Amino acid sequence: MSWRRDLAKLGALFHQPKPVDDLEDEIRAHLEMEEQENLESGMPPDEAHYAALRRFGNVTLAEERSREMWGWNWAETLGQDLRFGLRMLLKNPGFTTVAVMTIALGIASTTIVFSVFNAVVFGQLRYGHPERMALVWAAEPRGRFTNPPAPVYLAWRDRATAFESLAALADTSFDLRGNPPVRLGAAQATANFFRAVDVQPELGRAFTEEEGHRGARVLVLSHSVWKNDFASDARILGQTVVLNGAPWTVIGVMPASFSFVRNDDLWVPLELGPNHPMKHSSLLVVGRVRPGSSLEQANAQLQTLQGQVAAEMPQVAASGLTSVRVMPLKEFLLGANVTHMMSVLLGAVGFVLLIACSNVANLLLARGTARRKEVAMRLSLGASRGRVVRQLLTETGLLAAIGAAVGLLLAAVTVRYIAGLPVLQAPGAPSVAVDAGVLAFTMAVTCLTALVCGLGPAWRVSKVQLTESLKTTAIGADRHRRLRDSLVIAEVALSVVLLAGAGLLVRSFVNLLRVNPGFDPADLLTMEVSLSRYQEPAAIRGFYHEALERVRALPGVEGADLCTTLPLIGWNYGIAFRSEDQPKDALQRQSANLQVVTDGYFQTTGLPVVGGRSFAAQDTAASLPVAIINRHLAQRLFKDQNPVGLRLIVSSPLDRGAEVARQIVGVAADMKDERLNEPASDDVYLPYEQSPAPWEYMVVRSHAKSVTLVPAIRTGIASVDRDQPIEDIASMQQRLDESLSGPRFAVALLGTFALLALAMAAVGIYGVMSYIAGRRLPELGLRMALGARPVELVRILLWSGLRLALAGCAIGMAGAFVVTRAMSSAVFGVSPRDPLAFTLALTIILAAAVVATALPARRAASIDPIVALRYE
Amino acid sequence: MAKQPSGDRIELVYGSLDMLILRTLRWGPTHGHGIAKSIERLSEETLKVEHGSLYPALQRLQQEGWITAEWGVSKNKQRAKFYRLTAAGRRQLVAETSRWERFVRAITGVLKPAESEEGQ
Repeated sequence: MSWRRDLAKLGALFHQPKPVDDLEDEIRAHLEMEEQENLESGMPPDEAHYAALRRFGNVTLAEERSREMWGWNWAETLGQDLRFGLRMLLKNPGFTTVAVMTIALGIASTTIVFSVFNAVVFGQLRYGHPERMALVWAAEPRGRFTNPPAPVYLAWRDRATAFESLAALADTSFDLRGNPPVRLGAAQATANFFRAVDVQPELGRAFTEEEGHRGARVLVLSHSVWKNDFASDARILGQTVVLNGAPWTVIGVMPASFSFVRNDDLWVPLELGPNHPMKHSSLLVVGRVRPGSSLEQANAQLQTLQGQVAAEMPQVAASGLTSVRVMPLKEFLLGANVTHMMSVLLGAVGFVLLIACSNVANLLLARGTARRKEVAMRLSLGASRGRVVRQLLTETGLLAAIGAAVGLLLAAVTVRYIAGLPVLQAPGAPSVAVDAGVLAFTMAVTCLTALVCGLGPAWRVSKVQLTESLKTTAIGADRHRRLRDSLVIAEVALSVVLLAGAGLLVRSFVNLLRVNPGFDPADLLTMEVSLSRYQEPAAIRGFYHEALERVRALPGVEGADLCTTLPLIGWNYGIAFRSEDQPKDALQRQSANLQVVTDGYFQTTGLPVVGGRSFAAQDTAASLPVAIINRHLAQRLFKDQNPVGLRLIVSSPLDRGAEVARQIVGVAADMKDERLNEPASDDVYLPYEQSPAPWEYMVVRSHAKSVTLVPAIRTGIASVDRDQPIEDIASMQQRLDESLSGPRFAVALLGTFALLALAMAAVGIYGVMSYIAGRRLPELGLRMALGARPVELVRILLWSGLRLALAGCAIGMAGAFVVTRAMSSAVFGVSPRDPLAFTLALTIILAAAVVATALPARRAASIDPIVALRYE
Repeated sequence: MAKQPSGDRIELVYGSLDMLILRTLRWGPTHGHGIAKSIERLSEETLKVEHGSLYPALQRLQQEGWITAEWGVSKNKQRAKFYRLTAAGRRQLVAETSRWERFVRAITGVLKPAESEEGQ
């Protein structure tokens, strides 16, 4: 029947007069009939009239409800309410400004954090059904996990039925001929990789299984390389490009939004034939489980499978990798750190928003008291209570909408600024922006804000007692006191939690700044000069020797050396090792960070050699194999023994996996390998002459400005090989700063939020205190007239405010103890219950509370008693 | 604004007002006041109808197409709007009534054992 109702409504819209237009006449006739009947039954005329009215009930309400039956009424009502609300807001510019700004700050904070969250968390998971994707590692039953070798991957791929596709990637890189030459990071991928990630090229196609098997020289470009190095050439498909001196054909371009795990520049087929040299390399394995199966099922199946594999392949059993680890993609991409930091920040802005809401709610309550007479008037004129609540809520909604608009503006400006910060340039993550998702979130938050702030006060205010309120200012009990007090207590409590959290982060950040990175970052320029086109050790040695000579000869250069990884770069190479005393299979279980360095490395970087000697010209390919280990490894492996002169047995890809006994000639200080906030790990240094690696960083110590130094180095290296790219040029100080950018960002954000919260809480206390002081003016005047001194009055008022602050502090402390425990992994070198941070938080909030209470208290106490008594 | 509680009068169950109005109109067209009086009279003054609450219900029934309205003149020569049951309204009344009877039977069935227990 509802279509009929809709038709009738449409009719009501277009056909004048509306069916309800004569309602007034109809009701009047009704009342007259009733009155007539009453008269006939013998009532006096007056009585008959009022009895009819009583019998009918609320006339306005009946009319209103009847009109509402025709539906379109709500739009009219909304329009009226909005116009009326706007008038009321404009009439109170002070109130409106404070409320709008409070909401704006709350919404801006929330929007900013959510846009970061949106980019970092959702942005990285923009694959179809990311919950079905996982990385698969070979693992020891105890936990260490690593990339599986190719034969193990092949066994998984062929037998694991839980996966729709199980793909593998291997690292490689190419020099693209050009001016200047560019080094492209590439992934060799199995053909099913694009199915596993469920993304297809935007141009052209991905490579096929067949192309993978025969090792066809075809490639798929990333969008950014296509844009930057090929000027978005639309005719790129089928073109030939020269990589490492060989021709390759471009068959596809991936969409801009795509990047998997690392920022790969291009993808080429991965050959995994039984006789191919790749058969021993380690692979990154990514799988997508079938729609019906779960990651747990896939894990269970692979565990069983790996048991069989270990039984079939002795080398797998020997390595101890008899288990697997199926790591959900989300866990891999976001990690515990990011997720933790993001939840801390989201929690923090949630608190800020709550404080903002309670502030606005308090303002509305205070204003509601002032508007009591207006509300009472409207109720007595026949408005229903629901109607009054709706009107008040519309006003709050309007307030929230204006606040949201201002907040969104603030957020957009801030987001544009922070989007450029290096900390948010995560590989694979889109840039932070206020996009449709963020807008939807903000809108939802705004509606929630309006409801949270508005519902309580509107309900309270509409519950006026008619007779009492229509009289002049009634000094009765302060009816909203309990609600108002709880709001202030909540604000203080939330601020305490935020301040304590921010204090912890600041302490943790200071600790990070104090960490000794192990080397001297001043005047140290670093760059990657890795070789893709040199295969023979002699050629590799020859190139680096020449290049180092040219760079060392530049004016101002004090030293130039090679090393395989840089401190803080976030990754490193591994080398298996054991001491002579340890059993043979210990080699399979222990891995240290490998550094292959030239003789002057320790001097150039300033990393001290604390025992024995540094490498020197005497360590050549023909001399006794030697190694330097770091202090941490020395203490762990040899306890109190002096390691210099002892032998270390190592095995690395540089020696094609062979076991080599090397004499330890020196002990180096510990260096922060990956992050400043992690404990020292095991490092093994090998002399470059004995293990020439083609992937090296060059470190150059020079007082020369990098503006002149960098081009000079480029020219010098180009004169050795004009096709050799130089990548990732940065001073060590820059790298150090960058490694601090994450914690700095977190401290800055949380610090800002904590200060915002503090300011809002102070404003909240101030507002309530002014209100209380105003209400108590007559009483204060009386006390003063009876001889109380102003100091005593101030004390009375101070106590009524501080009481709330102290209650808030107590609750806040309890909350902070719980909340900061969740932060323990986000802080460094400080207990999550750090007494200093907590004491500081309490001191600050109490100081703010005293000031916010004292100002209105003093003003109230200094008023003339005559004025105070007459205040009514 | 609170309504005065009156001991022997029963507030209408939500939705039952529609049925009562339709029922009243079965005896012929009448105006709002007449409907209110009929309901009170037929229920021997037990059912309390705040006259004002009739009007929204009358609008709703018009929209559903169960009743129509036109202006006319009452017994006392007063101008009044007369409501008339439509065919659809008649069908609706039958459906509503049988639904209501089922409802009443069910409630009575539930309440009976309790009464007999009390009686013991």
